[in-house]
Amino acid sequence: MVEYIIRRTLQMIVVFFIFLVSSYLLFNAIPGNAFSNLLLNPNLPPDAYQKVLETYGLDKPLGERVQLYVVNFFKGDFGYSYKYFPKTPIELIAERLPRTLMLFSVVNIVAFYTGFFIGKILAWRRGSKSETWITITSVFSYTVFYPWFALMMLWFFGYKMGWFPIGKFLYPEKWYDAPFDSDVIFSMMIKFTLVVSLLQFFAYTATRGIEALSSRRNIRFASLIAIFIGSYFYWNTGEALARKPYAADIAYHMILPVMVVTIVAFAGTALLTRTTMMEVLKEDYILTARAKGISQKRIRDRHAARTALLPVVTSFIFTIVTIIDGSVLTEQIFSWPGMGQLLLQAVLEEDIPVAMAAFSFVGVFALIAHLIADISYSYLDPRIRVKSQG
Amino acid sequence: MEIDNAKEKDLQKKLRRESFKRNWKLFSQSKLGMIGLGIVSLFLILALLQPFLFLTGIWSESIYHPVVGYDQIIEEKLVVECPKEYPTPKYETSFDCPAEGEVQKKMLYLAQGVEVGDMYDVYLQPAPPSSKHILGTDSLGRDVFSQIMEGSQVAFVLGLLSATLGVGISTILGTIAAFFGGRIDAYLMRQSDLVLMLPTLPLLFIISAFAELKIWHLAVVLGVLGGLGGSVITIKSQALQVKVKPFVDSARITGGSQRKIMFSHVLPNVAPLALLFMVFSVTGAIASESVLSFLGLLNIDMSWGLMIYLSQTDGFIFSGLEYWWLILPAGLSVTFLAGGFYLVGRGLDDVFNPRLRKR
Amino acid sequence: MWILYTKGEKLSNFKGSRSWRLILLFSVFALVVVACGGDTAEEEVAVEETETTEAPATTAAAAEEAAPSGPDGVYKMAIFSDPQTQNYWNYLDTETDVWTQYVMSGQAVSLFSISYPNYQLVTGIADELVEASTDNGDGTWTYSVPITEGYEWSDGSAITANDMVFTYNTAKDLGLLSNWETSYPQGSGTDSSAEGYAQGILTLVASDAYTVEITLNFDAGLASWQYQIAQAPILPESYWAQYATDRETLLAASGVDAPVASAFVYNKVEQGAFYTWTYDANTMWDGGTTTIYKSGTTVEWDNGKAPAINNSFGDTTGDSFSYTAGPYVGTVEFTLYGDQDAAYLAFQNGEVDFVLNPLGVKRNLFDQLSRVPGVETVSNLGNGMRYMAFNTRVFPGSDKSFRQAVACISDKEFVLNNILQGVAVNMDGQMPEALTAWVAPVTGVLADCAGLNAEERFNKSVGILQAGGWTASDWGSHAGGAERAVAPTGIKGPGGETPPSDMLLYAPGAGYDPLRSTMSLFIADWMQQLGLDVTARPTGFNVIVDKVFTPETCEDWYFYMLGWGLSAFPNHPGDFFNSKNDTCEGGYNTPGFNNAEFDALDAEFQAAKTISDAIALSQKMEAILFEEMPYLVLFNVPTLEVYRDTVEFPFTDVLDGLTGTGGGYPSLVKVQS
Repeated sequence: MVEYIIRRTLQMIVVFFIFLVSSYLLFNAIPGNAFSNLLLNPNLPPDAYQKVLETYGLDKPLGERVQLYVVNFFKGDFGYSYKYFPKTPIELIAERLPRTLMLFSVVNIVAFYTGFFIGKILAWRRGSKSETWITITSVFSYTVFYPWFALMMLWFFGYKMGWFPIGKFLYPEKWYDAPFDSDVIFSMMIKFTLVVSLLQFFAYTATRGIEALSSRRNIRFASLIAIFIGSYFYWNTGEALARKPYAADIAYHMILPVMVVTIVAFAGTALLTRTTMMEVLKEDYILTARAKGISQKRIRDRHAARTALLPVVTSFIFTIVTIIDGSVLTEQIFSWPGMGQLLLQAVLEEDIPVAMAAFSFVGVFALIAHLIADISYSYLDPRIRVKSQG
Repeated sequence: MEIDNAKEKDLQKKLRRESFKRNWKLFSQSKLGMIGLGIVSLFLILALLQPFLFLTGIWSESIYHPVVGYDQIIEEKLVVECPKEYPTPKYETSFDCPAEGEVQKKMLYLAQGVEVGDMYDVYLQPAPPSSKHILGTDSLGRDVFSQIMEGSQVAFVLGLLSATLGVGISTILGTIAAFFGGRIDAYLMRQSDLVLMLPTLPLLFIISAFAELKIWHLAVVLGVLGGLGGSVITIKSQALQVKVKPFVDSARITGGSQRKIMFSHVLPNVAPLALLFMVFSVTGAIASESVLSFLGLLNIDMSWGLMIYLSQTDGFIFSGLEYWWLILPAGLSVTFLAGGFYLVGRGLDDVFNPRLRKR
Repeated sequence: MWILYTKGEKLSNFKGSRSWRLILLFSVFALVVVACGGDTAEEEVAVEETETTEAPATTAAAAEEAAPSGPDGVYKMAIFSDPQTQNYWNYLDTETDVWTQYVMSGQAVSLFSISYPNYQLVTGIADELVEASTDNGDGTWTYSVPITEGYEWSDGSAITANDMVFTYNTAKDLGLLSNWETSYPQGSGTDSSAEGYAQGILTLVASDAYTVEITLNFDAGLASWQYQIAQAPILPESYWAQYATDRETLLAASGVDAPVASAFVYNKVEQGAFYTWTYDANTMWDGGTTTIYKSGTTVEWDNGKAPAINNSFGDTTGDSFSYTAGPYVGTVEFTLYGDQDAAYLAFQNGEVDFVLNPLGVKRNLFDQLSRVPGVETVSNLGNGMRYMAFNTRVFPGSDKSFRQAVACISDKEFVLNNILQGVAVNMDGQMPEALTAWVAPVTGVLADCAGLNAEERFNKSVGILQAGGWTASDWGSHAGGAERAVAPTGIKGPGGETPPSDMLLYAPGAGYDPLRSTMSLFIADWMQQLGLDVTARPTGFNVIVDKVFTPETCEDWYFYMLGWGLSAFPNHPGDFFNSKNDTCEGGYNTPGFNNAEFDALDAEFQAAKTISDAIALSQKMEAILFEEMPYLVLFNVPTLEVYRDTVEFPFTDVLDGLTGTGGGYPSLVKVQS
């Protein structure tokens, strides 16, 4: 397994370099050439012109320029933002990254679980009427014209019903006297989410081996209660207590975007879970289990679902990309000032350095998410695990 | 020999026809596939109907042209001033004023000397659906139904073009990777990894920021991206399975060249899978186009995404369902056509993926 | 959750029943929530907090209600984009957008200022409107301006002549760009015919603490003195001197805590979410009554803290109204929304009082919003114009009779009134209608062709071409009514030139501006009816700008459509048509218009010292433009705005709207329950 992880990481590093080089070539090949456009920065004083020329080696041959670009990437040097001069793209990204990470991680987890469970039901109820209907609904929620749908939902839940705020991630009047920036709260919430989901994941995997259905359920439930109590104490003591109202404000603003993305993104996972599970259900050992008279539910949960989880984790990798795509639009529509919105606005306003930096970061982001999913796959896949043991 | 050849061809034809019949039967058993096929055919008819209507002169271009058409619909309305307090005997709530056949005075801010109580000729733009314009007109007096038809032409051209291109590329690359292996394979796989994990939308944003994208350009970009992506991996593994089949071996033994084996034996066997990919990638292409034109990043005269974009910039998108004909038809068209192709793909999946067949 | 969960378990014994399926599905949803424990906890907190979340919101609203017009209220405005900076130097140095301008407004002072809504020149910190300069006789002129004693920055330091000297020197020495170059133009040389001569400021010194002496190397008119240099921003030396070492350091300073000359100071800056100003209890910048006449203004100000003032400017006779400055609110909030839709939706919900939107509301949305209870609407003409430019450097745009013929056949009124449904007002000359005194009488071809029908316009345009020496193998005909004309064939210019085929008329696409897009389609069609092969090409806004304003490509286009927003003093015809501003040399004269008579009039205009002289000259210049037609001016779009009836503006009728002139007038607005 370790060997697998190392190999995969090395492959990823190779992919990462291909990414850097090809994105340079892309920027370079586009008509109007992004790099020569850098010199047209209207805010650039004359002496900085020379500096840009040197930074990107614009007068040098292509090979050297690619090298320079890769070096600059690791130095975090993308020049200055046109729009927010003299801020640099990295400063802008650092400001927005926590907001995106928060939304992104919650959306991912919720959408994935929802998709997996619905897919499980779908596969099991193959051929029934409800399967057809749920499938059709899933297909159309998968192919729905997302920005349009999100706008409709915003109109309905935000305006018509008035249940949720219309965009933004906080109510300004509550933050007038806040002694800290929202980013402080965001990083705190990200840590909290991370810890809690890890705990839950451990509780889940640790109880996998327990055979009796009811005792497994009870243990899981107990762990859940424990996590609840733990987080209750966490939020009611010390520093967290003071920050609670602010975190709650942000969480409240997150509900609608998370819900909307989930509705659209769960379907991909659900449809894939269904397909793979159906294949698994045809496998001989399931037939054997059935012949042995094991209950349907048990077959589904213990035998089929676990095996089917593997390809679904693979699909999770695809979902990540879909959700990154979606989050660009989500952020724009829900006035959520994250990386996606930064990228889109940089593109619309032709703030070339920011657009390039944000794109590179989104790429790296996807790459890392990909790698994490790969590693957890290797953990789940018995073949890889067994191999490393043997 | 001649006769043999002809016979063989006949036989092949017959076999093909039979296999088509068999496949069709399988496909038609799939409820989802049939629903999808129905949706796709419906939009195809819409796409073809528009040129037909123009050519036969049933529709005049000056009125029904989706981009430069204009129909003047005038209604005489009573000028009123809405009260400050509600309810009044005439109006229940503020949303009832102005009522049918009335126009608020403050909306006529450019008209000189109009008084409350006058009758005033108002140009109905957007006009609600009528027998002449079954989906009404937009804020520039253009027929929405004609725009939907135009949009469906754009969607088919773009979707099929990019899907064909993409599948062509990935089939060739996948087969090459399977056949030659080694470094070529390793490189192609890393490249697919990259394209797979690359967020498509940001990439398309970047491209459209620098270059004025037209529909052809977008089709090529989407085709190439699709062709280099994950489908290469799947087609490669399929080709690997075919490669070890007995008939490939026998072809090799009888002295067929690598190229001949590839093109006449492996490719046809990979084709069904490729077709599946093609259908699914149409869905993606339609969605991408709509999103880009929704954000105003495409240089295009008319498309479904642009229709939504226009109704948004004109301020209709949050009007609820009052101007439904500006919001629903375009949004639903994107959803349904993309979904239709997806369902067709699902149906084909049942045909070509025998493990899933009902037993 | 748990209840449903157990129910699902129990009911699973009754698999036959239909409702079981539903409940199972439901319980699966419950499972989902339970399964992602992390989020549940998160969400749990959120739900638990929802009530308390609502509570502060209502308290805030209640507080607003309790204090109808006290300095406790909150005035909330929506913006669509983050301000680019909070540093005033940076704001003027780089190309900033309107959002930055709104959030930065009211920080700096200037010698002179402008009162709205009548666009009257008034004093700022200057003691009087110094309009006359001393001719030093050596090619230099000096203005000596006294500054009123007693004004203070928000940190309590006095505003003196040294602040202006500091601001000028910083802008000059650190090489600040963009608006600093325009506000404080650097002069060089005193001999206007010598090489390297540039009009501008030679020296700016403080002769004592409250007098500045500004020496120019030219005899400035209204355009350069009253409306430019005398309105240049002045910033506090006491604070900024520490950063004024080099451009980078100065522009990188945050500027959030810089002293300002306003009753509001920055309170909280939350990038990407909101910006607030809060009332500064020690401020001297409050109160004061302004009386507005048709072309005059009286300012009375005596709040006991600031120096007492009672000044009159312009013609203070006739009808008038007065307003007293606030601030009437304790907090001004600028809330960020991702796009207009979200902002207006929030506005409908009452989350914000006013939406700062430089383009105003779209007509349809305006119509809908006007029906929402508690929403007030206002429409004002914009201070701007949309136009089509001919490239006079290349044939056929180089031919005057061609330009006239196009102007004649183009029935703008038809498109505006019928197709565009009267969302815009026809505009023929360079001046917006609201600047009544400046508007020149329409002469030339536009006057001749006004009110003609399609057939008459066609015949007249053909006549103009024939008179201009154009030839054709067949001049075509018009069948009358709404029919398209049969276009002339084989048309040739006066010198026998064949017009190029495939000429493009660039105009913004329908998504960016449906009005210009539609207009371009029609004008291209009319040009086709004159036998020229012109197609309208919807093009991205930036692409058009790149093409027509880049010196290298100044000959690469035939026609385009764009728009201009105009400034308080209408000296733009010179910028757009004086041959010294030719785009090929980097100016704004995109048509490449070159007319010696016009240039001479413009030079006179720039030096004009009274409004009436300026108006007379401007009208003469316009007469030339009506004859030559380098631009076909198209229309003016009204700015439509909406505000909640909980806020009250002292006036709402103002050219360019409430957003364009005062950024929502935070210091004048009253917020009620």
